[in-house]
Amino acid sequence: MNLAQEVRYLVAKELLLEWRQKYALGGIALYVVSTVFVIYTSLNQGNEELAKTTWNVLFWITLLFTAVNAIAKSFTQENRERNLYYYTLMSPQAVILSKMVYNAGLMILLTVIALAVFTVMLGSPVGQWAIFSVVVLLGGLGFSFLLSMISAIAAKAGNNATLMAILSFPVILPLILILLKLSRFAFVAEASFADVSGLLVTLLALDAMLVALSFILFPYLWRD
Amino acid sequence: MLNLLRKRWWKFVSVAFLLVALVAGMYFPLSSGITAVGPEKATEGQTLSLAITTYNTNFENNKVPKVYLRGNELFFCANAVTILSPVNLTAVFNIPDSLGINGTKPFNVVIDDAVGGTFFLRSAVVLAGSNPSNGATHTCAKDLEIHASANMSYPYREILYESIRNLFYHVPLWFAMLLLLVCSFGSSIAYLNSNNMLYDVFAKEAAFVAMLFGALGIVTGMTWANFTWGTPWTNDPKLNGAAVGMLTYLAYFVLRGSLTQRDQRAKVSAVYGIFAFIIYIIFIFVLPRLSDSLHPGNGGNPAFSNYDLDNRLRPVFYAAVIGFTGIGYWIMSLRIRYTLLLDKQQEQIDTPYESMVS
Repeated sequence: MNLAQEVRYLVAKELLLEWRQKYALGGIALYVVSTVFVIYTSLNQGNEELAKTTWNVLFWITLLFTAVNAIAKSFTQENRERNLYYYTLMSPQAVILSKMVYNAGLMILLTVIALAVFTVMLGSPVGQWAIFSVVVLLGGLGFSFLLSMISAIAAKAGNNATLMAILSFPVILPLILILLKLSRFAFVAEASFADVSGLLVTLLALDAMLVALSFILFPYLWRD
Repeated sequence: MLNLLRKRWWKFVSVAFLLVALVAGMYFPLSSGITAVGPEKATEGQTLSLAITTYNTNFENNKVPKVYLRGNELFFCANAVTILSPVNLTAVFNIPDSLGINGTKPFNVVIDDAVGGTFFLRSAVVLAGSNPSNGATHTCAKDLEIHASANMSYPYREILYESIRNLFYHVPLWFAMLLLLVCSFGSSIAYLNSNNMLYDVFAKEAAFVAMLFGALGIVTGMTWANFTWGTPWTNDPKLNGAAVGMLTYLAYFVLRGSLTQRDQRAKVSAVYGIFAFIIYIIFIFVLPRLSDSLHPGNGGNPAFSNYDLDNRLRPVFYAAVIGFTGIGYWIMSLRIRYTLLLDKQQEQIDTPYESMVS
């Protein structure tokens, strides 16, 4: 079996697992909705206009926490023996790639939900939807790539939620800072892709580097 | 690598360099400078009597310094200079009345002293005027020659003042930290390639000493920032980079602590160490270029090498870099030996029978 085929089988397996435990997906979707609702009720005390910067920060922080919670279970939802079985069948690269592909899909879904709930409840300062969609897409991909690898590391250490958070927050900061900067551009209606091309290329390079790093390092990690 | 760490000569060398840097950094005085000038305002045609207070000068009555007022092409000499004390003098200027200043113009006060060298205070006096120029631009020959202080001294800079010495402690500490982190990164790669436990100990101890130096770098940096920028912590990309580095490597130690099995701990922490180091390097070298920093060399600020790191600072600075790096590696080698001894003891406790037989 070549790598692409292995990845396809593993992603299909992930989807099947998710389908069989629908409550997990529903749970994380509810997590997004209730987080936004908490923000909404907390902010709505004085009926003040929400500043763009505040919206921006709240949106990405919500996504960050959602991503950490959604991806933390990547390597622990199945038991050790089953993982061992996959490792004997598939190459480690296929395992991490399939997790990254699956988590990327999950993150895009969660981002869309978060964006929808944010827009409905808190309004939206976005002026340039084309740029913002690209930013959100690349941001979701970056989150899923980085957190897939971190969850593989945290899984080896018992995968408690604290460890997942403290391992991922410092390394995810460069990504978040670029995303916040890019989103600010997307709030301006007159912004064009030419204004943000440099930052977008940086973001793309960062995403690509995360995939490459995971691809190289994961094989060392799974061998027990 | 370990053979080099066992050798002794480089420890003496680094202690010597560090001592030189510590002593020289504190021993030599700051160059002369002007701290205050009054009055700060004057008009053309006036006989201006300037009271000048200086820093680190030793004026004597038989060696009266020359004093000038200078604003681009306009250049006036003091007609009379009276020395009041080693750090106080009065200079009297007869300012011409047709200078072509339309409004106001800032003037630098320049002092040319035989011992202290040439030093000045930028925009010290503001001249007001409205008469058209009659072509006279100076009241004496432009015989101003810039020469350095006669004795070894560090540059006098506004805002920095005596704190310029922190250059010998703050910056080398960061240099040493980065070199130790590179060492930790290299050891992590070496561990994954060889599965040799020694490299794991290396990676851990290098990261530990790097964090020690990082903490000292932050403390020295905060003291410096409090003096020069008025606040110990600002939202500066380099400061954030430092904080992120500390958080990353503290997380690295928590990760190590939560893994009990030695091989697994070595492997998992090596993977995280490599992953975190690469992202950290991106954070501190790429991101500051996306936004401004108050640090030299960023956001339009001149780099140290442009004018601050002049030849008087350079030798002491490099001595401090070598000294701090060497001391860092020495602490690291001591900690490695300590850890290896602990491991050996642990093995003996684990296998009492075998150790008795052998």
